[in-house]
Amino acid sequence: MRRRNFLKLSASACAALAALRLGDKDVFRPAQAKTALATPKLPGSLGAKEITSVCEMCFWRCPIVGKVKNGRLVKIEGNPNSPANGTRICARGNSGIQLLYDPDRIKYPLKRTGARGEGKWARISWDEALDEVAHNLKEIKKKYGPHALAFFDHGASAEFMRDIFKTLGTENYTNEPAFFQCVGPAALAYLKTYGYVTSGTRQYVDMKNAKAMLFIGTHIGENVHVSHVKEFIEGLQNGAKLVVVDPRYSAAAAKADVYLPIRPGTDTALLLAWMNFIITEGLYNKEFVEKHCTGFDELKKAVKGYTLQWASPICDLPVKDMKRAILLIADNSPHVSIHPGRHSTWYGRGDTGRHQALAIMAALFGAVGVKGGLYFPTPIKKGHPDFGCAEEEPDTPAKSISEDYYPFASTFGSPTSKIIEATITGKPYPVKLWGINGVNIIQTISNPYHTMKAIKKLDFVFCEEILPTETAIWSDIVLPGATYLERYDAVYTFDLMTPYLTVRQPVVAPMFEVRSSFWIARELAKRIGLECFNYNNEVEFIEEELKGAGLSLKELNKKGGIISYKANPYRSSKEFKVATEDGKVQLAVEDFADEDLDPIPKFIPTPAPPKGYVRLVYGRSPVHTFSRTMNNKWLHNEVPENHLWLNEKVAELTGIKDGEEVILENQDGYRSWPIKVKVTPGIRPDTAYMIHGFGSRSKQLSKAYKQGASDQFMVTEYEDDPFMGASSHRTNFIRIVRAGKVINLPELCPPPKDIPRFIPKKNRTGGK
Amino acid sequence: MDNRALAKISCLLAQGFSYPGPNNCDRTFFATIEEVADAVGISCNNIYFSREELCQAYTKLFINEPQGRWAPPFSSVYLGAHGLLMDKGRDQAMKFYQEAGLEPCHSPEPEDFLPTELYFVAKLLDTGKPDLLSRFLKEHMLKWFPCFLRRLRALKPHPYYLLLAELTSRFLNIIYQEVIDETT
Repeated sequence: MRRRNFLKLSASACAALAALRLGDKDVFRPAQAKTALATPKLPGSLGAKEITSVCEMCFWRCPIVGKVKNGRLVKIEGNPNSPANGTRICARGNSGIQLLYDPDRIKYPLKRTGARGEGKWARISWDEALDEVAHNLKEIKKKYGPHALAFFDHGASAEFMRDIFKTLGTENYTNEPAFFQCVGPAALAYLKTYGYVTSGTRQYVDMKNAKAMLFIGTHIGENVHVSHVKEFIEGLQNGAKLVVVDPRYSAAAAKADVYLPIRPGTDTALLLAWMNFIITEGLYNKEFVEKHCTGFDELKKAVKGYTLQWASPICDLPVKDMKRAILLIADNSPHVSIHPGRHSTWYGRGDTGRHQALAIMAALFGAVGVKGGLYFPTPIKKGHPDFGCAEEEPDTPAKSISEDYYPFASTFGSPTSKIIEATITGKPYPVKLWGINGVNIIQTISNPYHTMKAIKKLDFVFCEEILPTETAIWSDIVLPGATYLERYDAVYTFDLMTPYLTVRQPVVAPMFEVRSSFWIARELAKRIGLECFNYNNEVEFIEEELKGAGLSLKELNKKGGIISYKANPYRSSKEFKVATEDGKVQLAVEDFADEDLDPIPKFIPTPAPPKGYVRLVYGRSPVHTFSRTMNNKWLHNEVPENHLWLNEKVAELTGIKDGEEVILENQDGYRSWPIKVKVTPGIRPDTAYMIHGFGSRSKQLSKAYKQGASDQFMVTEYEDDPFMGASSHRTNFIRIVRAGKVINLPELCPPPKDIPRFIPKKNRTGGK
Repeated sequence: MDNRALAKISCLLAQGFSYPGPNNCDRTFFATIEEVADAVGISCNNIYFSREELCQAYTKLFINEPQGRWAPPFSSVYLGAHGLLMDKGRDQAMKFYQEAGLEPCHSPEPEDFLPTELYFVAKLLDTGKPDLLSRFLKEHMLKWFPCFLRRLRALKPHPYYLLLAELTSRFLNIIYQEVIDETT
């Protein structure tokens, strides 16, 4: 080079430069032919290497194929060999690439360096992070006992860390918000009626072959799980009739033959009246009930007083419409899908009962084990690796969070609301450490203000996270978890109508210093001194699981990453047997009666909105999952914010315009961030609706931060389900604040006298 | 100054943009940075900071900042349409590496990490490839680094990292001018 004299360094600086260890030795190496940029001229994903795996953009776990070019994931498609979704994946499935390559993601272990929640972090090594977590787990257990440790988790990858908490001897090792904030009441109702969880993560309901379907609040189409939606649409294409009961005109309601815009909180009244109608009109399946059910006489007696005429003012529905709807179902029985629903933590007190009523109704129609009805899972054989996690002798606390508050909580774990209370009050015993994995608890659990108050009381809180959510910001140590595209998980079996076995495996190498959940749990166990996780890596135990299915990972991959099986969903009358003690469907649940709970559901009125307020309900967007995907660029582009659905008459009377930005104020005075109003006839005047998961309060989520309003931050009032302790989410009410001025909303559907009005905390005298 | 010394400066800057550790947080290192800054006409005083302070500042600016204001040190974020990692910028960098007959050794960061690209500049200086260096700077690094610098400046960052970024910008432009002169 003909050098100009731009740079003149002193001799000492030159010497210093020469002497410095500049770390350039291991940065580059000569290119190897095999790593040369492959097929550069082929456009898009053509010529890409294909790796089969399993999606985790929601919990449905669709089989996928990752297309990798030059070390970069360029496209995700459905696994063409999948009998469930085929090549189809949803918008979220496509957008997994954006999660993987989101610059906001957590890249290294982080340690809080400022006050908790202040958001000051420093990157630390894995050794330091794991040592610190292990130290705190040991010390807190030593000081306060094992139950001072609590674990909040969601998803398959959290299971390894859960094993650590379990092995440490706490009863608070499985407090999945998935159960206690979502599916718990439905799961319990079906478990006790049929002996298996007809509605848990998945719903065993044969919509594809149904002649009629009944949805109570279920909004498939907005709530998208590919094979589930596919079966619903195929059912409609085959001519199935559809009844939708929902205070909001949902995507499913738009396809309904009968749409019943019910008053929120009165679904059980409708179901009880329908059951009475079915029985008194002789529309039930007498043979099925006689042969395969117990408790019919008690049921008949219990529902006797619930007539359609009684239900009409309560549900705010005309008798003729209610009758038309149930006749439509009855005329097509037994081939009817009484959809069990999933998210069922609505109103607290009546939630288990509502889903029990749905379960009973399916049985009354004989819609179980037949085409179009509820069906039986098809178990798929696989090996069960022994991780060797030795459980300590259970040290039952004098008063147990899991067992002593709600009789059926321990079926699922410890109720989240009770753990939070114990953390704040120290009663029934102190909870001092939280581990969190796969769930943004602040945007998930009722009353986030309560949750944040509890976190401030903890001695230590750590999480494994992919994105810097609100939960990460409140953590002392943040462990960077690998996305589903960077890690192995266990073998997955799908036991629904299209049974298959597949495995999640990495599509690309983990970025930065993220690690798989198995690796993290194994390293942590070593440091705590637990004899846990006998396998060196995921492949070892996956091989063990596959061995039980007569396969190896190599063979499975050779077969396209997935093996299909023949479904066995139906039963003849002779074969019919459910998994209850006597093999019969329990129309009256003795276990409930044994605990002084109603063996047959009763109508328990849910308090109506206070004057000036409407009830806040929420739902899903087809392109988002809970609060997990709002920072995803593609999905954000499609649905960047949520809107508040407000009835057009309410809007007209208050002068609120479509598209206007307002603030919401709930009954306890908590205010939301700004949200635009969608004025519509598609919502009842006593109800407002928004999509869940928006209004992120984490500034680090650069696309999601402050986009729309958070329904969760309006849920400050909740009631626990008395059966299993799940917390309600639809027991809150909002009014509108516009330009700083509070607007009371007019009451256009006053509740009948049977329904008491909700009294906000500030107006209560005594009691809660 | 010979190419080797320039390559050393590029390595020095790469080290500066790496996470603070024993090799890039001692007095000798800071003194050398000061000397180089002085040589390119950037005045600085007393840039001796504790490793702890720089770790916090680095995390906040370049890794994850809970308050949401940070400057990702990856070309993809600035060169791609979506602001993502592993996008166009990374592929572009990889093509240049390949043209030089090189590939990055295994590293937890994507291949378009700022220090990696600065090490690549050092390699090109060291091995005397002015044509490729000129194109790498013109078509790639000088396309995204100014965007990164603008974003960083707007954050009112820790003075040490602002100095390093200003110094890197000056250095890259000087090098570019040099190779233009050399190759025209």
